[in-house]
Amino acid sequence: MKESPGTVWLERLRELLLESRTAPLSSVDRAELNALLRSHPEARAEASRWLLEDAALTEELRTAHVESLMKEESLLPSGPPVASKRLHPRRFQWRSVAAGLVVGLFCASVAWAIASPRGAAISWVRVLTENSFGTTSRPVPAGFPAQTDLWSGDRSEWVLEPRNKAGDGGAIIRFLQREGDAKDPKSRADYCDVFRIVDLRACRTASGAAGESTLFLSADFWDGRADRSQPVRFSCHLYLFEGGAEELHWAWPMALSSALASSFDYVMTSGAEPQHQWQRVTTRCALNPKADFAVLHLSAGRPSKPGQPVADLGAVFASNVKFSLKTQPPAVARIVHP
Amino acid sequence: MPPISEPTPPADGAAFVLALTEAQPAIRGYCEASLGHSEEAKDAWQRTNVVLWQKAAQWDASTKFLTWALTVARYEVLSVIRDRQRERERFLFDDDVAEAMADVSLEEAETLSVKREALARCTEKLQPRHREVLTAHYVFGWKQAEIASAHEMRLGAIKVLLMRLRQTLAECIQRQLKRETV
Repeated sequence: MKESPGTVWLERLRELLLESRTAPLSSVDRAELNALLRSHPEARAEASRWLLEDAALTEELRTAHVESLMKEESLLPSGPPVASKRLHPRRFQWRSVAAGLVVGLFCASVAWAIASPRGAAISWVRVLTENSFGTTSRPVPAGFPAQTDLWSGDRSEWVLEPRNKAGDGGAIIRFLQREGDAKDPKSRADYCDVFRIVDLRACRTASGAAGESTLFLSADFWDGRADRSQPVRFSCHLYLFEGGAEELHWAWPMALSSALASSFDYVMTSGAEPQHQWQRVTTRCALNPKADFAVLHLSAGRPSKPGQPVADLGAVFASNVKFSLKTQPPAVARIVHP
Repeated sequence: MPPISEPTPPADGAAFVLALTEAQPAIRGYCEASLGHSEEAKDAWQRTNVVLWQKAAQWDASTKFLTWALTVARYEVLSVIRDRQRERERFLFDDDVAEAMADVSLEEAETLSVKREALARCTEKLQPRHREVLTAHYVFGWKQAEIASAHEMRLGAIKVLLMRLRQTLAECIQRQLKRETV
């Protein structure tokens, strides 16, 4: 079948854009690309769409890759690691593991190494805090935490829930009421928020100077309301700060403007999900070398506009919270098939 | 890049940080759509974030953050084009093309969050092997020849595979968006 001229330029345009991702185009190809874009408005529209989708695809694949790493890692015991199906036996081997590396008060955890034959690529993963909601039902303390390793926030409670996603018999958080910030009378009561401060100083020291260190915060959320006609947004936020935990307590939320780094991701329930479906949200943030503390922030709610019905909370939950640090060298382990 | 001055705290700090974080893929995408995959696109993205942070106090929380952020990004993209003093061959798009792309990409960037949701559903359908090829290329920045070598495939076959996967995703996104519209 003979291709139409439209299809020919479209395919060539896409080919050039794809090639330009990882290497500079030759001067001939570059001139061809510019000529295409200069002469065809359709080509500009298509290139714009393609490049924007590229950015979204990169973000999506990166998040999925991070989640898959975390999933694999959480399944591994603290003993010697098992070989991943995705690693080529001729190229990679699993080396012995530094297991049970304890970092600071909260870093009860697991760490292991992935090594190339040259010993060049080593990844460390530390679970910094996990499922720390206890095993009894009780209210979550009110207000922003005044010390590390305690959850507190807007009106919410720990409840024992048999459908706990973590399956550990522990409590899960039930978000009860959306509240504004007591220190800021203008703040809007859109979300029910809970927070936890985590001391990063020991991890920062232990992670060493070499490689890239990334923090991951993930949690499962469940919209268990009988009437789900109004959507609810569940989110995980991660903020990094320099300074002391007490200062954060006094300065919250104004301290947000001095965050060294932050990240955020969310999921919105549409009412179309199965009634008992938990949804995982993961956010990640590069570990800033100056960061002393991380603030973990989970929230549930929905921005309300005047005249809009307020989303009812009370049967929305968070479980299976995990905060980890991954350190890896700039050269990533390459994934190949046997 | 302009020197980073101390920002004035925004009236609603939490909302600003939230909006800024949420807008990152669209801002980055806009810069890359205007300047192509290049160091200068990263430069424009970074400069935009610095300016947004410095102007945090000027943001009115009742207005749409992304529209404001993309306006700033557009100025930064144009500023990067004006600042070009090195050899022209270093840049993917010529000045006039980059300016035209900066205009045409504004509207597209505003709809990126909707596309991201569609894209997430589309990537779920990928075979694991195909996902790995895409991850190697898009996340780790492997060249096509490196992927071909790692997968013991011919370079031509990897080129075809990458293009086919990317086109399949583009079509899937369009289908998802149409379905949502219906």
